[in-house]
Amino acid sequence: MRTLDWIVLGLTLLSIVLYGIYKGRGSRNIKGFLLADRRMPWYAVALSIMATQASAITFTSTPGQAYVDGMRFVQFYFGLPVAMVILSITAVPIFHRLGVYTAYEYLEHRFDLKTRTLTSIIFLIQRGLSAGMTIYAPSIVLSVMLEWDVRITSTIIGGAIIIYTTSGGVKAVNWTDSQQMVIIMSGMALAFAMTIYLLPSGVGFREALHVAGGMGRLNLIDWSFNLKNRYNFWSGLIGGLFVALAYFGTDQSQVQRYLTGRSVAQSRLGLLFNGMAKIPMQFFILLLGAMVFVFYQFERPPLFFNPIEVRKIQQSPYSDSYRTLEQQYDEAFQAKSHQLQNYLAATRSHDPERIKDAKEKLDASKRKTDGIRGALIQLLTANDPTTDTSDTNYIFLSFVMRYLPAGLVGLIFACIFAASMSSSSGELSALATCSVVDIYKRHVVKMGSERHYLIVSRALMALWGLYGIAFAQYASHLGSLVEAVNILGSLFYGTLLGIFLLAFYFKSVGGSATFWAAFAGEAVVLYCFRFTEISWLWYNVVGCGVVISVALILNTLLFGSALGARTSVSLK
Amino acid sequence: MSSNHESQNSKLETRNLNLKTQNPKLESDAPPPFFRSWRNLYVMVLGELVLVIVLFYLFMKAFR
Repeated sequence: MRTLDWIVLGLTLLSIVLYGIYKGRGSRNIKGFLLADRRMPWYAVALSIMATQASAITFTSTPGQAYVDGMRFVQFYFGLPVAMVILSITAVPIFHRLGVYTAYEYLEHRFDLKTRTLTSIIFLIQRGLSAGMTIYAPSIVLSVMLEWDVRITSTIIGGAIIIYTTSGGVKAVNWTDSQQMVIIMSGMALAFAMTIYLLPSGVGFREALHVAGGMGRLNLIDWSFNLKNRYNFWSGLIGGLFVALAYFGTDQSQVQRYLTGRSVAQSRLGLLFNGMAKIPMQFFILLLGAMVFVFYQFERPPLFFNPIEVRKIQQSPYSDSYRTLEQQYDEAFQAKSHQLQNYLAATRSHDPERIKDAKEKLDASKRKTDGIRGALIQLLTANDPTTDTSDTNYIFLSFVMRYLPAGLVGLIFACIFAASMSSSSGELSALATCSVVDIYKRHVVKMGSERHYLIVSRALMALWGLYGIAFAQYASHLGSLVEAVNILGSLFYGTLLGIFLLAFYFKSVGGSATFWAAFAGEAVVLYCFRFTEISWLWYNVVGCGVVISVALILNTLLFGSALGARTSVSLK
Repeated sequence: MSSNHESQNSKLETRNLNLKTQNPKLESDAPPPFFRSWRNLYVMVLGELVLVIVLFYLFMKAFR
């Protein structure tokens, strides 16, 4: 990084913290601190929802995922707009009408205290784990790329969040989320424009799309139905719908975002805007990855993108084998470049036979380069069996550092820090809110003063932040960070969603049946995770289905309808 | 004493809740600032989803 990059990075981070402190001033009671006084306009709600969902992992890993696997990941979001509509119709009016601080508070109104406490504890465990991951994942990537200690990167991210969340609460979180989203999208748009600009002369955007498509990177839709396949149309639409319903309807880190809307209409508009903007945004980030892939078809890429792992193998007894592989890769890359030029010439000729022939030769040369990369991965594992053999998270940042101009590199790194801060701050504020409202206020100090709860809320926000930093500093290496976070969430989301759907739609089912059904649902999800090959996207469907079925059976056989709904606040 | 207080609190909450839900003019009935009705807005969101899927498919076919 050059001086201009450090200036841009430093100023951007400083502006986020100062903006958070400025916008969060005046939070003098618990409603102001935890719900932003319910005064947020729809666009701030929408941007905050999007920023909380889009973590730093989204912006480091997703382009890398398109580079390695193509754009099929976009299908994961097909259920999201449907979920936004369902939640706008069901959850938003109920939560607003009751004036709840947390989604789980509603469950006490609808069922009983034990169900509220159970769901809140499930959330605290699940989100607590991933809050640590949300800081850890970008910290480790940034530490590798900037050659900083992971303790420094995680402390910068966590420390900045603690400053503005403890001073301004949720108001600061929502406004900085909006600011961060604008910074992130501006940075990514500039990176996209520069990637196209850096393509060799004679290769325009259209040719680049032909290269990406010809080499399997524009695989946006897969109509096949396969429970073991994570990314196809049906997994995305059905599995993705359940993931989105659970995440946006039962996860306090998202519910809190739209609870701050100044009316039902403003909260709904926030959710619906997310429903419309999310898929195009993911498409754009994946397309950026596909364009980086095209760029590296003309420019020799590193044999492996994680510089730390490369350094380790260079200093190991396998260094000679590594050098041999590098030489082989040079030759294979030259051959592939030649075949690529032939393929482009064939596409210009519009001759199907010639295109087919050129494509087959290009595929063969690509298999050769992939084979050499595979041999390197075997070498890395032989040298250190615990090594992280996935370099997906480093592809985009490696490209940024090598080829983007001064200033823009700093801005992209600022985007990654900002994305990490936006999702972590949403999580920390939600964790603090549940800890205070659902646990502390309900079970520990029930009749405290407003000032007392405000002090406890600030203290818990700081504590959750410190926990996130500590987790990031001691977490061990994980494989693909995107999937790790998503899998973690999926193990609990099905159960939570089942409980909320029972609350909304099954008036006769009571708290005890729901409470015990939740354990059954979680047991089945854990069984699927441990002993089956069902893709994690379907865990939510399974967990939710089991909770509802078991609750209905228990309610009929053991608890009876007399213990059903406590109030009329459910959907008819 | 604590359980007595809790029970009273719970009754109060339930009463408030019923009062709120019995309010004939619900805030959620207010139309959106644009597209006249919520139904229209929901149709637009779902329509955009269908359009995006169709466009993705055509895009993929065009550059395969």
